[in-house]
Amino acid sequence: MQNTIKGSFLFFAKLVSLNIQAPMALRTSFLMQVIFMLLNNLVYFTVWWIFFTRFKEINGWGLAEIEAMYALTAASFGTALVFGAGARQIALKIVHGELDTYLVQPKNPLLHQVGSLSQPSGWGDMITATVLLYMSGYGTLVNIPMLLLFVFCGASFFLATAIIANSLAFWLGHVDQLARQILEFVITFSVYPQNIFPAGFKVILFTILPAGFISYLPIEILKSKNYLWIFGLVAACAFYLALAQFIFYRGLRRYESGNKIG
Amino acid sequence: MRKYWEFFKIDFWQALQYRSASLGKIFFYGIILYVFSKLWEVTGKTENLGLSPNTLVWYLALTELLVLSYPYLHTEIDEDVRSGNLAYSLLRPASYLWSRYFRGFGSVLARFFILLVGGLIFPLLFGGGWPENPLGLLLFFPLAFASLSVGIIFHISVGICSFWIQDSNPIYWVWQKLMFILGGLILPFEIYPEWLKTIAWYSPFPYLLNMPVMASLEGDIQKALSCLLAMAAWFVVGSMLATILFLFARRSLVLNGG
Repeated sequence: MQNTIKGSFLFFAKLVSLNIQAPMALRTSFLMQVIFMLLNNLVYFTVWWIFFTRFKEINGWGLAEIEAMYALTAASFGTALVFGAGARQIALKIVHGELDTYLVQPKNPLLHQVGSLSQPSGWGDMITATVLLYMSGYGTLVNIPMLLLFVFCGASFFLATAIIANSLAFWLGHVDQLARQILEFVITFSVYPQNIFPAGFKVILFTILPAGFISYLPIEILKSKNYLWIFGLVAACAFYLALAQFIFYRGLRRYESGNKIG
Repeated sequence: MRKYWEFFKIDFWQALQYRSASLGKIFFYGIILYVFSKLWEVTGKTENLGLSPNTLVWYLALTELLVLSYPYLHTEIDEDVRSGNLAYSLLRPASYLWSRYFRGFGSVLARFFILLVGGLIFPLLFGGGWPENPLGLLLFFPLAFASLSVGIIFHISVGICSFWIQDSNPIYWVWQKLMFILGGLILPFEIYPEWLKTIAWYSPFPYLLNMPVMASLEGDIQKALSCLLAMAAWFVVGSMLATILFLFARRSLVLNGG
């Protein structure tokens, strides 16, 4: 069991390192994606800078908290894109019967598919996160280990959501647009403070759409210094990853090959 | 001109066929409005905005309606360049640029009419009823069509950049976010600092979003006419930009052998 986990980890690390290098070969395109994504994020964040010139706070959250929240979402999504952009292609691969390549190899097919693509724009998201965390004041040396854990969990939530939404293709067929939309909902709700929503709606953001775990809960932990919540966050992260794996393999039983090996 | 009308019709009817994607867009539109209606509810209690929370919800509903109507026209042009389809299009007795423009306009109008259902229902659900000047909404239709028409011509210019950079998405991201900020997508200009307002009015963006929407909500015919004039001027600028970019792009295509 230990060897299997270690083997899967080493395989995924090697696969990702290769796929990260691939887009870097087209240097101009790679740099443009990174720089323009950074610009894109910073221009968009101007909305909040303008907003806080007129308003002091949103239910106890000031500009610093919003900056940290946006930073955590950008870092988590960027990490998911750099290390696991293949998760967003699962639905198309299922519909076109293109999972065969991974199924005939002696490696974990889900890990193989997830790590099969790296999106360069994710680096731009990560740089944005670093800038915003520094500006927010939450990016202190003491907070760094916790922030790294939050980003790891956030990226896992994004990947789990992408895997679950895309795996619906095993039962429903063409769901790639729907899967993209679900991921967009999670991003949308991760970049707004959830203390503006009524309690009933918050339940959705901590269950069906795990947006609450990506940025709101981590910022509340840092703000209130209630570190016990970290255990809850990690447990939820493990649960979502396990659920994603369960749904993917359950669906795989219904998979029909497209005879596209190689 | 008849051939361009046919191009318009093809994409108009085609865009109406994608029902599941349209439903997803309407749902997303509703979510965005819900989030902001809550945000204005919270801030509206504590500060004097100058505009009522209901007007702010209507403002966002109309600006979002315009922004969400745009198709991914730049990726279609990307695909034409990458696949080599463009070389075949050049042989046809119709300008590639204008056929793309009319196809894009057909597609954007179809999306506009689909989203309009949400655009009229959501603000009633999340705001506080009809805007203060409901008849002003009639002004919104001609202004919206003109705005989308100008937006499409600039959108095409973004797509043509794929001749040089293979993937025009990065330029599109920045173009779109500049439209959000300088056009006043989320926050009306009343909230903006003076220096940013000054920069914005030198760009086409306020004439595509803020001005047509405010003219409609205020029912201000004078403002609507000024906006239409400004949009006509920006349409000329946009057409010239797209034509010049396309001429350079076509030259490089011919030099490289198509």
